[in-house]
Amino acid sequence: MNLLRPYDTMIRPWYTGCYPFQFAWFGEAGIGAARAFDEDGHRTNALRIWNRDQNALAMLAGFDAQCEIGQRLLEIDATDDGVRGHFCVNGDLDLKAAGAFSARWFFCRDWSLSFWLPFYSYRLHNVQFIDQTQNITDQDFRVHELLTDSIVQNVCELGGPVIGDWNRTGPGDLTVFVEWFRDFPQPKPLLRMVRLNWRLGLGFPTGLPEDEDRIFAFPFGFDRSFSLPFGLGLDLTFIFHLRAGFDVQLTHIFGNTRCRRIKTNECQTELLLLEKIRAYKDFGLVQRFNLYGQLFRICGGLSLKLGYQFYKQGHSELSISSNAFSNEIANTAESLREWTIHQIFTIVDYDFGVHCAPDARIHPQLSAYARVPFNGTRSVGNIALGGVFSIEF
Amino acid sequence: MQAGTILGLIHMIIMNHLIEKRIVMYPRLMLQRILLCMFCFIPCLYADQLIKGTAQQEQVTFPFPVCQTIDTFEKTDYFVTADFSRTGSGIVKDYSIAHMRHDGQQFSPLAPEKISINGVEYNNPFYDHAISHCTLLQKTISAITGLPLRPVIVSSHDPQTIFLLNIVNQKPELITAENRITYYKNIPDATGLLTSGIVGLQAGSPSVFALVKPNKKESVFGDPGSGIVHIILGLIELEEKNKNKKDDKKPVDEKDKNYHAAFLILDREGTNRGVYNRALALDRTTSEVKLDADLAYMGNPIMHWSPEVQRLYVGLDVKAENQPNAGARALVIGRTDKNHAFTLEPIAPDNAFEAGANTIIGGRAAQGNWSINHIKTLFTSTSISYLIVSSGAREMYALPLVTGNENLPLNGRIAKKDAIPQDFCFTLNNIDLFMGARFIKEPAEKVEDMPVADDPATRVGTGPLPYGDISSVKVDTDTVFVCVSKLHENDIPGVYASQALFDMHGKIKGWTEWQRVCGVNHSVDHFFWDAQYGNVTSIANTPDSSIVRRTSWLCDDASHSKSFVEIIQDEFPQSSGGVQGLYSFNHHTPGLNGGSAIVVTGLHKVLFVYFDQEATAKGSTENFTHTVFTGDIIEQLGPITTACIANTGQRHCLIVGGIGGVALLHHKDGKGLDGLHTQALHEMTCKKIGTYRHVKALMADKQYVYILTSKQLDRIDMQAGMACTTIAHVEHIKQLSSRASFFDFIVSGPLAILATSKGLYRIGNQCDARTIRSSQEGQWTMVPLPEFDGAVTQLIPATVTGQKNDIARYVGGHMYVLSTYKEHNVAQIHRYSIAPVDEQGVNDLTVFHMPDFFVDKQHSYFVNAGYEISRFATDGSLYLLGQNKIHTISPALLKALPCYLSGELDQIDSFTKHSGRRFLGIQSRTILSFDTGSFISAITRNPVTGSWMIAGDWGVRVNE
Repeated sequence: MNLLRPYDTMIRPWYTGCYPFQFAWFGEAGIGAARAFDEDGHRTNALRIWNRDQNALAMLAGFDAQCEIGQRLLEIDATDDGVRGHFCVNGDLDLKAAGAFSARWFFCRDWSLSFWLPFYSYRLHNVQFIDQTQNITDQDFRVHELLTDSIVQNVCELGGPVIGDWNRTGPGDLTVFVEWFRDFPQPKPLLRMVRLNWRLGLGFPTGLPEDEDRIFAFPFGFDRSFSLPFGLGLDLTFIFHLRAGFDVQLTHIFGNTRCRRIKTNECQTELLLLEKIRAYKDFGLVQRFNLYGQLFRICGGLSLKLGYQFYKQGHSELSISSNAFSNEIANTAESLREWTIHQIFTIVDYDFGVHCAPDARIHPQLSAYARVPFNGTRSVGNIALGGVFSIEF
Repeated sequence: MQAGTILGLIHMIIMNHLIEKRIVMYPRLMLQRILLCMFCFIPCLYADQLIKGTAQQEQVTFPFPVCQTIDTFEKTDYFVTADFSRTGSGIVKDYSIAHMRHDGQQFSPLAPEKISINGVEYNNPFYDHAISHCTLLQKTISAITGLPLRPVIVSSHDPQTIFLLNIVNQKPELITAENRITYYKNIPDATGLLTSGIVGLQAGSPSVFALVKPNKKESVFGDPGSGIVHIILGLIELEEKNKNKKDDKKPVDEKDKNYHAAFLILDREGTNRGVYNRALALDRTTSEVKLDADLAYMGNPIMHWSPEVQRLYVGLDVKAENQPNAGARALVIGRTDKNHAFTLEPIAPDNAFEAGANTIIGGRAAQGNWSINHIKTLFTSTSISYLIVSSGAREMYALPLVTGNENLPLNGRIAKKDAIPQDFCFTLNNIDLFMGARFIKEPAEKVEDMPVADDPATRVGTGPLPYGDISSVKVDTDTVFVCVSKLHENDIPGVYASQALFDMHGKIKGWTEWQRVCGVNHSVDHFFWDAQYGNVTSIANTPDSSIVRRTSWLCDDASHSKSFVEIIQDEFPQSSGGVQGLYSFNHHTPGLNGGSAIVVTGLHKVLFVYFDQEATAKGSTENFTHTVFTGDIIEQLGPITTACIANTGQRHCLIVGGIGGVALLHHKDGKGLDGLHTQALHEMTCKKIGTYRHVKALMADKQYVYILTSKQLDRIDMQAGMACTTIAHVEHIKQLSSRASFFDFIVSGPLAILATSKGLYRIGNQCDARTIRSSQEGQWTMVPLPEFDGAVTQLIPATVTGQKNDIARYVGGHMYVLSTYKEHNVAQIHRYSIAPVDEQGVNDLTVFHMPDFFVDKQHSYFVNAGYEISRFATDGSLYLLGQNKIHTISPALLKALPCYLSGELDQIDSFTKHSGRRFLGIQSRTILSFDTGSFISAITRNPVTGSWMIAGDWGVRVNE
């Protein structure tokens, strides 16, 4: 998910180095429904990033034969012919709004301490489960009658998630960074300045966790886990108002144990999982790579920036806190596999400081940006338009 | 055809490579399926394909008749010899003996013009010459290279020499039986003189036994001097040999000994040190054969070696003297001991034979005559050994054998017929009491102990074969196969089989009636049963040629069932769900007038195919009448999955059921149908019965029709105004809940058995399915399903008549129970013995788990399929598993393979080396794969031809 991450070097405000504090306010809104990419990188619906369809027959598999789910499977007594019990799913995922607040304190010349707290508001609507089951065999009829014709009710009865629309608003993970940076003026004909920075942070699990009882209700953060981001970057300022740079940030997410939906059969699909059980999740490493070019203060305080971002989270693993189900099967979940997203950033930035006296007490900046996800695997992202207002003092 | 052969070879090479490389099971299964799919559609393979030999003519394999056939224990390799009695020279040439793999397309000659004999190149004595006797020695011996399959042969023009045909790098060579005096003409009679001729040959690894006539030229077998010569293939100490020759008495160090592989004639005492070896005497005066007086006649000997019992059985044609208490035994046992001494044992003691008792293998009567025409041994799936003999042209009998007795000479004798088998267990890999074998230790000692011809357990096929004289016999697992050639005008040629029915101890309690099998309805002189794929290779001799054909699962223009299959494919296309039900009704079915029927069901349609009495008797599916039922009522049923033929009193009707309910097909005048065989089928119409939903199965038993839905079992009395009574309901059976469901059932008189999602249930003690008025009154009782906690999805009965509802009639039957654990993708098959239910009604012993043990006294499953299967079928020999589509694996027909504890077939000759022939799972062979399908709806046998038919959404395939 291409959540707003305010500490992303692509959109966070530039720091002049002349003031001890910087506050920033972020706000963005999505345009249209989310863009989603399946495992092959093809554009798809947001609810199909993990599976092309949802398998209601497989949903019942992997349980004890004598429990209600096992008995239901036996009662249905049908085999999966590729369409029987399968649903084609659709849904629109909207980013209604997202925002963030950050505060940075600069000390000892090259150091800063910063706090970043985002919030999000997402909506899933127009959810459709379109039954693919035919009507030609007795198995088809049983599947219709006992399972798919009332899939929403049946899934709920059997302990599955609510299939339907949702609205979710809540905070993301609070992140604290300690950062070192320094400008190195360059006495060269083309290159004027080099800014180096590295940062180490700690993410606190303040974000809204994944809602296991709703389909596709992803967490606003790292699902109640602490995280440890570390990044470094290089910004090069050239003559002719040109600036370019890159930035790498790796985030280690500490695993945690909580109730999660797990697969009990390897054929199961992500949105139709009935078993909810406490499981430890070992998150994959998050990697973010930024690359940008900027026309810096080309007209007064106006800057134009074009950036590319690659974001990847590695394979996560589950360890179930029970012997009732198989870890091996649970870890076949597509949602645990790595996911990537490629985004283009366009940012218009205006530094009002150019109009202020050198000894002005405040230094405001305003920027507007657009984030456009254009490729990825097993990921979903909204085209977002946003703005950042920051003030140094 | 050549292209097909080449592709078939490529297929074999690839498969062998895959197997050798030990590619893991799951991908290998997939690869097998893919390759099978690829090659199944090669257009140049034929149904009932002709096997190539030397003949130039179309539809002929050899330009000469086949005389003898031999196959391996595993039934993977076939050998045939030419019959020269009806063929001149210059025709047979190098095909005097020929070999083919069970899945081969062509025989390979094994008698080249020039051949190495004991290492020296000679003219081959068998090239274009007759082989009078042939047997197959299956023995791996490290000192001799070559295939471990070595035919042992005797030439008709040199009946005093025995040759071992060793095949090294596909090149045959001959090794003679060695007597240390001369290589040729060295087979002794019982006096040590040169025999005047060999009259029989039988291999029993590592030995070969030869029946010999006395030295005198005019003598015949049975005269004094006749006997059995013991020859062994093994290692002998060369120094020891030399020592004898040199008469050197100095001991030889072990390191100095030089071992030499030899095919050596032994003396009957077992030592090879004597200069003159002798045969073991077997003649009219032999005490093991005669009873009280020397025989008047002995002749026509035949032999059979039982690897399980480790005994040689010699069958004879004997005649008693004209004395009051004189008698004879037509069977005698040969056995060897550790020192290779060879002795004879009586098949039963003298006291076991009395005048007037039909003890099959002998008796007492002045000038009484007893003969044995065929001998086989049957090692049942319950680990008990039986002797299968034919004492007349059409009668086959099964006689229990003593095994495991500490008094070794008693082993192999006829066992006391009422004796209870004992289990032998041992510890293996720290698993205590591992099931080792099952023995009947008590021999028959008096006439009351002897099985007689009237015992149901003894009469294979429940009586004489009604179709003709038996020309050849094969046994496999629990089934006896026989073939009939067209010797007489009234003979109905073909291959027939009878399956053993077991009691609660695992002993045979009866047999199924003779039934045509394998779709073979032409004259058969010899046949091979391919236990690997369930195909039959039949050999039909004409006066001057032979035709070798093999059944196949592919249906093309050559198929007998082509038109029948085409109708099904047309009426039930895959786009409409294909065949969703396929039911066979044999000639015992009331209303068919001695004919047979097949009912095919699918979406909104029922196909009724009728074969009249003549077609049924001849085993021909080429002529039949068929009717397709459609219409509003049928449409209301939706997909139709089940059918039965019921009796409404004087009339019979067809009842079908599906998701939408049950319909009775009756005559338009509303009176039903007077026999389903009449042309009035076209005037039938439908009437819906009740308001059923989700009908799972239908069954008729006498005047009652039973309807099983997923939640209840109803009984309808067709002769009492179709009064309906619910006799079982999920909510009224203890341990079942409303969520439970029914899958299958069997009703036979008072006995009713239910397969449910929570196990197996039977009607309560003293309850009667025909009279109970409610589910509660039925006192449904759970039948333990050991070592399993899944659902029971299919009940497969084995009954005397082949009718499901006869399982508790006659001698009873036994039942296979398919239980699946969908959740874990596993399935098991259990076996239950069903006792006949008499006036005393159902009791605790009526449905009893058969003694399939893994650990002593712990009942367990019979087959573990290793994965989920949806259908199971068996004829007692072939265990077919139908697997629906699983993930990306296509539906398939598989054969469960026995898994021996030792893993080596040639080690099963020791009783302590196998686990009782249990199917431990994992091992299976894919016979067919249906890459376009998703499920298998039925595996059943054609009631006319006995061919296996398999149906699913992809259509129907027939093995013929």
